Amino acid sequence: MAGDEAGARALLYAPGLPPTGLPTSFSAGADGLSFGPEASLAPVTWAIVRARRGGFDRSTLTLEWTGTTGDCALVIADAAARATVEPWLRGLASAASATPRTKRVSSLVLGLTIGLPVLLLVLLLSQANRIIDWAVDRIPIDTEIRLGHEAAAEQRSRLALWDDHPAAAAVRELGKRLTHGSRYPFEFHVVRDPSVNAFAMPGGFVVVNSGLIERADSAEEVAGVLAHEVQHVERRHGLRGLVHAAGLGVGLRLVLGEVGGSFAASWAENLEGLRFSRSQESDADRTGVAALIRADIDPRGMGRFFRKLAREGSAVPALLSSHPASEERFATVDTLMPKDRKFEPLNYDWPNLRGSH
Amino acid sequence: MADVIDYEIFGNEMQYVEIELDPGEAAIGEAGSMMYMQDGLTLDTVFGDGSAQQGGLMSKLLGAGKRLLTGESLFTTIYTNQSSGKRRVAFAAPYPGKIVPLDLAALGGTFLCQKDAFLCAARGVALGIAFQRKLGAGFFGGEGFIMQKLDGDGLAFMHAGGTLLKRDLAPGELLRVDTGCLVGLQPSVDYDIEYVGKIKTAMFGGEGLFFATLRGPGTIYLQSLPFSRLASRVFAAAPQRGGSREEGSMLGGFAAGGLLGGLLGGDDE
Ligand SMILES: [Zn+2]
Repeated sequence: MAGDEAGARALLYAPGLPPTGLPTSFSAGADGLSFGPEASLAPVTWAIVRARRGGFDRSTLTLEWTGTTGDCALVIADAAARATVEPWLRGLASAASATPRTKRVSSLVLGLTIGLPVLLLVLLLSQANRIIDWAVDRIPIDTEIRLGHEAAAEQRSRLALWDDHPAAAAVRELGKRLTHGSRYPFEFHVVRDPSVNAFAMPGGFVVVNSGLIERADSAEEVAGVLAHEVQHVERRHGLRGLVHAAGLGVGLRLVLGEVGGSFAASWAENLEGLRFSRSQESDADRTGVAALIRADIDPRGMGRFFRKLAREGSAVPALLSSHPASEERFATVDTLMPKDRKFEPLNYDWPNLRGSH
Repeated sequence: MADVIDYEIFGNEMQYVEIELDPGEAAIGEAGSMMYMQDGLTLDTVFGDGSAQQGGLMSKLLGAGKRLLTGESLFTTIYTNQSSGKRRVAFAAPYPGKIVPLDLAALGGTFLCQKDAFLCAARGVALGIAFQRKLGAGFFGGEGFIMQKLDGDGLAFMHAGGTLLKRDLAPGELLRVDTGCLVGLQPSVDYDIEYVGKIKTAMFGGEGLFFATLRGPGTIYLQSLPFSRLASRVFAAAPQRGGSREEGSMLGGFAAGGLLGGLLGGDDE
């Protein structure tokens, strides 16, 4: 088995060899591995060899064993060289040669890079943001929902959900009313947190702090905040922001539906810190007002609540630090208010529901 | 295959590398890192990395596509000695640290370094990318997601910020490192992203929330001062920067040096 002319090559790591590995020839046979003369290492039998897929991008076959002088490894990067070994690894086949799905996806990503450059070249130099938007628009909705679910599961364990808060049922009802017919599976929760805040995660997990509920004087005000948050989801603002921040490589993977659990968890963590752009905020205001009108809820509650927060107190409430309030923004919202339409007041006894101060 | 170049590194903490080219030899460098070049050298900006394998249009496009993904500029500058004598060209490190010469032949033909760490190489060294296939790594260890891949048998140079540490990992040996501090590694080393501690608190400190878990065998290089860390300290110490910061996000730090930064940020920072 020694004289394999194919000359499969790999990097050999062993005590006494260069720490960066010795490029060596090797051959694989029924008995085990043997190495070229440059390695001056005795053959090893399969019985002591462990195989795994390894390396930075999981593309190498790493064979490890403990020799008489210490731990050794043969790292095989070349596909043809790997193929000479794989038949002998049947016992370990599942670990060593199963091609993970990610590999297929990566090839797809690489395939895209062949097709895209011409398009990208033209667009990227002038229109980088539009490329990102292009990618975001193509992220399948079920990918987004799946990610959202995993991220929400992560959030649940960290948030003090307070779903039997006296106003929680009202929040759920208002949310349902505002998301009627939506393609997202929305969930609305109250969280025990005194800060005046609310947030929505891509996919439809919406949270309102108990502090915000206490601060609102009517159900319309809460509905206004919910409508705004819901639109951040509907308009994919968070998703867009994340892809912008992470770059096109991640965007392309999301387009291909490539998501993993640890990713979702990290995603959830970072959503809280995400800030929306000014144009996204006014977009959420505008579409939020439209959603309120569609749901037959008086939209003036939205502006009233934001104005009230901006006016009151010296400390800026959390909601305003993530949703910068400006007179300009309020004025824009005001212009959207229907002049000649009457709304029935929502039938909630808010001062009673919101609990004691 | 790659040109055999001679070099000398000058300086202690702010280094530059001077490369001596025989007639007909050439070096490739990132635009913006060149310090000086002698008369007789011609400077060519080429599409892709100018390596010999890049024959057809398709492979050039593939190379360019990969460079797009890493945020590198699409064009590489080649410095060719067209004269009849030896000529020198020098490339300078962009911030305090050490220049590391990498003999790719001795390293097994391939080496991975952080995207912005690559300084220059002998002509014939192919610049590519290596993907970390686990998505989490890409998203949050932005620095580790896509590494610059140096392929060939010639010399290449990378730059490490601060003090340089070279570690040889034995087979199976584990080491946890800050993703930003890992400046280069052999592709034989396993790489996994792990996150440690509460993100919420770490989000405001900005450091150390993601570790790369490395598993030998192979040689790795660590830098004590990743540029992103230096930059964030400088940024934090700068006088109040206007009121509004809503366009940015907590993820902004991860985006630095990313695709858009690389393409739109110009090359002369
Ligand atoms: Zn908002």
